[in-house]
Amino acid sequence: MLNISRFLVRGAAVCAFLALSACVTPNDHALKIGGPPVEDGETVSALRQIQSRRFDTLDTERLVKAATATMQDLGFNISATSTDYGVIVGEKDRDAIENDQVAAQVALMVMFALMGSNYQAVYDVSQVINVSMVVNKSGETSSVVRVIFDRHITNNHGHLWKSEVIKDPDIYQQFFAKLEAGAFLEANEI
Amino acid sequence: MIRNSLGAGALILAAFSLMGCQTDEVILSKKGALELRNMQSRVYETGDQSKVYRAVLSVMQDLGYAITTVEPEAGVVSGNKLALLDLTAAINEKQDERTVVRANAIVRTHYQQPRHQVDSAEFYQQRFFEPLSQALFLDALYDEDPAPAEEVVNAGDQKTPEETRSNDQ
Repeated sequence: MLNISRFLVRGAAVCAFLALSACVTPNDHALKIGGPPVEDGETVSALRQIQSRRFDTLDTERLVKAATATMQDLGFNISATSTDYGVIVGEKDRDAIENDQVAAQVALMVMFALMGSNYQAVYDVSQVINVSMVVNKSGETSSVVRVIFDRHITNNHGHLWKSEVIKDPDIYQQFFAKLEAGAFLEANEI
Repeated sequence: MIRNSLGAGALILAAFSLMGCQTDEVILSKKGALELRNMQSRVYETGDQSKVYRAVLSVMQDLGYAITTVEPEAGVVSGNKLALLDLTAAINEKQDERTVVRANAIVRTHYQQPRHQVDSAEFYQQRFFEPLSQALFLDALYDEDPAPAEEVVNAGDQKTPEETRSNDQ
């Protein structure tokens, strides 16, 4: 009796979860994920500051050329550009294995095996990092470069299962440091 | 005991994942062409399409889209967000020094789910045209006299499954 009731409770929980997820319509989902990628405490302008730098030049073509070289140095394949609008788009594949995550999943597998059951370990294996950059003239004497990195992560079952806009300021700082060096110009915060 | 209930749960999930089969086809909206055009288009009182194009790029970056295609000669720009939401904007000249912007979004609720055309007026208003109007410092007007129907160029496929077509007819 105890086994049946426990099974029914678990079954009801699974069904409730599935029913709830079926209630999210595509329009609802689009509205939810279509907003700016900021969470509690973050602001659009703060994110813009992390992702942008001002250069004291109106020569946007020079910045586009330097940025293209920088991205290629970083291993990105350039997939789309517009010199007129200062747009560069690229992507690169990268290993996404994080040892802690794998260790935790393996531990769960072992634990379930000891209990006489089965657990399929799931962890990140690879990622595609996308970069989109736009350069615009700003004011009389300078240009602003805004770059966005995001990543799509595939798991060990070969499925895309996570994606996120990268918001770590250090990653953007490293990119702009390389761009500064490549363009022989100083990058200033906006 | 655990094996039985986990097995049952796995069967339910497997059934649902088969129902949401992986496909690149897009399920188009069943709303009328005029209703869709109204929610997806706005007119701005500026003849400077370049300025509007740049504003669209800026808005897409603010919203976290990765730019996927950029074709300024065609006035088209596309972006993808989180591998789930694709947005394409077409910027075109309109008579009397005005510019019309038409946006089209395609979404899937999960990575292995089918893609749907977004047909929510609230989405296009809140998640595109309001930020675009702010970026341009211009009010967005409805397109009162739309041009003859044009296909919006999309980066992704837009093949409709045969079953959906036959339902419309």
